[in-house]
Amino acid sequence: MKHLLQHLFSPKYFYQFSRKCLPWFYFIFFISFFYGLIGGLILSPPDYQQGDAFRIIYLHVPFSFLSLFIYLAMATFALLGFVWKIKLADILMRASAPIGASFTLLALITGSLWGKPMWGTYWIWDARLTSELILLFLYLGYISLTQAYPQQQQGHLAGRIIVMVGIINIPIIHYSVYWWNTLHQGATLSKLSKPSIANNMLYPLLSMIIAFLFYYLILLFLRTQREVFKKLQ
Amino acid sequence: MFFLKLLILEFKQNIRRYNDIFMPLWFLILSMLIFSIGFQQDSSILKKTAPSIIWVSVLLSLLLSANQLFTQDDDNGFLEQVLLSPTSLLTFVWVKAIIYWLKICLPLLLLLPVIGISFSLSYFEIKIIAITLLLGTPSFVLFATLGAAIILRAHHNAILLSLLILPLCIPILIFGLSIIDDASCGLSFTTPLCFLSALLLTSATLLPFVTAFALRTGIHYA
Amino acid sequence: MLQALGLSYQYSEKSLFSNLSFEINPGDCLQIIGGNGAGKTTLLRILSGLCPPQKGKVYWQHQDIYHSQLHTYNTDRLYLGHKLGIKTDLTLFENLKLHQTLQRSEHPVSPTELTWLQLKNIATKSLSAGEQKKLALLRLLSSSALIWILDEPFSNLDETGTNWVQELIKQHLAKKGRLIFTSHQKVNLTSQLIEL
Repeated sequence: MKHLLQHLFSPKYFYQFSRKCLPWFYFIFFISFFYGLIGGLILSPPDYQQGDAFRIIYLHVPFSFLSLFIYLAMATFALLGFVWKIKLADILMRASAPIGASFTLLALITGSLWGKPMWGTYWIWDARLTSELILLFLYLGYISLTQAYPQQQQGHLAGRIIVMVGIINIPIIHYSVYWWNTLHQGATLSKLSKPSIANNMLYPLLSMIIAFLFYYLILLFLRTQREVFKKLQ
Repeated sequence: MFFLKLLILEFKQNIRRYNDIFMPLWFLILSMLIFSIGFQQDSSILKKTAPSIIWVSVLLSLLLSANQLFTQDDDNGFLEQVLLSPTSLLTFVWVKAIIYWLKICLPLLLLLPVIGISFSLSYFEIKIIAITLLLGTPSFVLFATLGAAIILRAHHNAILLSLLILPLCIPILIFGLSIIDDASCGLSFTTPLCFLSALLLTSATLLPFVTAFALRTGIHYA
Repeated sequence: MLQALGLSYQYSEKSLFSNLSFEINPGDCLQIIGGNGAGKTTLLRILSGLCPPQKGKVYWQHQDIYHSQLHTYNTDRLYLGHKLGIKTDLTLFENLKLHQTLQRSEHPVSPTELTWLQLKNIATKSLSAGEQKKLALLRLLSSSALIWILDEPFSNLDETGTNWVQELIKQHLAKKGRLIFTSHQKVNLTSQLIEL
């Protein structure tokens, strides 16, 4: 297991692998992005309650999904780094953090833009917006922590620890904030129950999520490639 | 036995630096003064928000001095000696956390009746605030020790510690304050009380390990 | 037996040492020499378990000292670096007691040793650098460690202090102890040399 992972995540192998993958990722990204865009903005009907304003869902939901997904990915990298001593993990984490922070910020912005027509105000201290804001602070905390050390390696190790503590805390934070106050509409997508959304809205939404997921992978691979390239030289 | 000896010696050392004990108290009272000035002496708002003001001030005064938790021991080389000794770092972290709680939180709790009277709180409310603080502050302290261990050798570590640790402390703050809220409305507050205790138990079992680990890696890769 | 295998360390592109191997057997004394910034302190920190080497391994009784399950090395090794681990808010005796508690050792240091070294039971704050060094070196007396790792043990010491430490070291070596140290001074000890 250890040797397999160390081989897969060795800088050289990763570099070659990512070069082979990237064209496919571009392809999937463009296809799903344009399908999502056309399906979401033109083909799907306006919501009977929210009108055309609901269409921001095609950005807001992918952004908030990715904001959490990237943090989870970072925690996975941290675990890989701790358990199997994979050096690439730190580079992957550091490359992911600004992307995740940007998605979190975008989720907050689109959320508040959506809130204006729905609630009549840009910002409400409701459970999900608040925990999204806390998530943004967790990202910013990681980024500033990794830059606060005279030696890079120390920053990476501290960053791994704080991300691991953060990932355990996120459900607790989310639940407690939910307990504190909630005004948000119920989850649009949920694995356990049947989604409360029509199919001609659902498919563009899923395709947008896939598009942004691959957008993240493209950015991650490009950023990591650059770092690895610097090291290999 | 060794734990107790270590605790006593650490206590002796801290009691001789009495300035460190007074300054957080001083900060706490000052911040409450500033809050009451901020609310224009509107006693109805002040009375309603008093528990939140007390909790937030306690959290802030606790985090403000936390970045110094390990610096002295790191500078004089004691931390290295602990790492190399048969005594585990975990023991050392517990000693540090207990002493820190005794140093910062115990004086605050002892002062609470006076603070409560100044906000014209009833005896019952003061009692509830004391209970919640008794359950909440140990978790805060454990988070603060973790933060102090992580940022031990970082630049601008005082502000960085608060930025890292404050988001993680939010659940404790929420459940602590909702106990007070429910109690003052005459409702049953068992559920948030259970959550607050559960958070305390979880942080007490997990955080010291992480703190010890952070200290070890911090020394190893300095 | 302490065994170093293929140790390498580089500090921001500058290689301090590479592929360094040696062994220390009971009764051996090893002196590490080299100019300022040659990496003497780093090597001692690696050998004592404070700083994992970038390449290579350190074995104590055939076990990797950086393996997390190895606890025997913590009782068998005594390390004294530049930072002495003295808490200035505690008195002399409290400092000694503190380190005995840490080491879980049961032999108390007799007050006669203190008077012999002309140290008084006062706040440690007022001690000079040399006196602090003597206080730290008193740990050698109460220790039952098999290997001593000392970074510049003779610096800041006066002549009686230096002789006292040398005497302690000789007794330790005669009891089949091991010693690794660095020093800039000429030392009256027969030892192997490693030059960095």
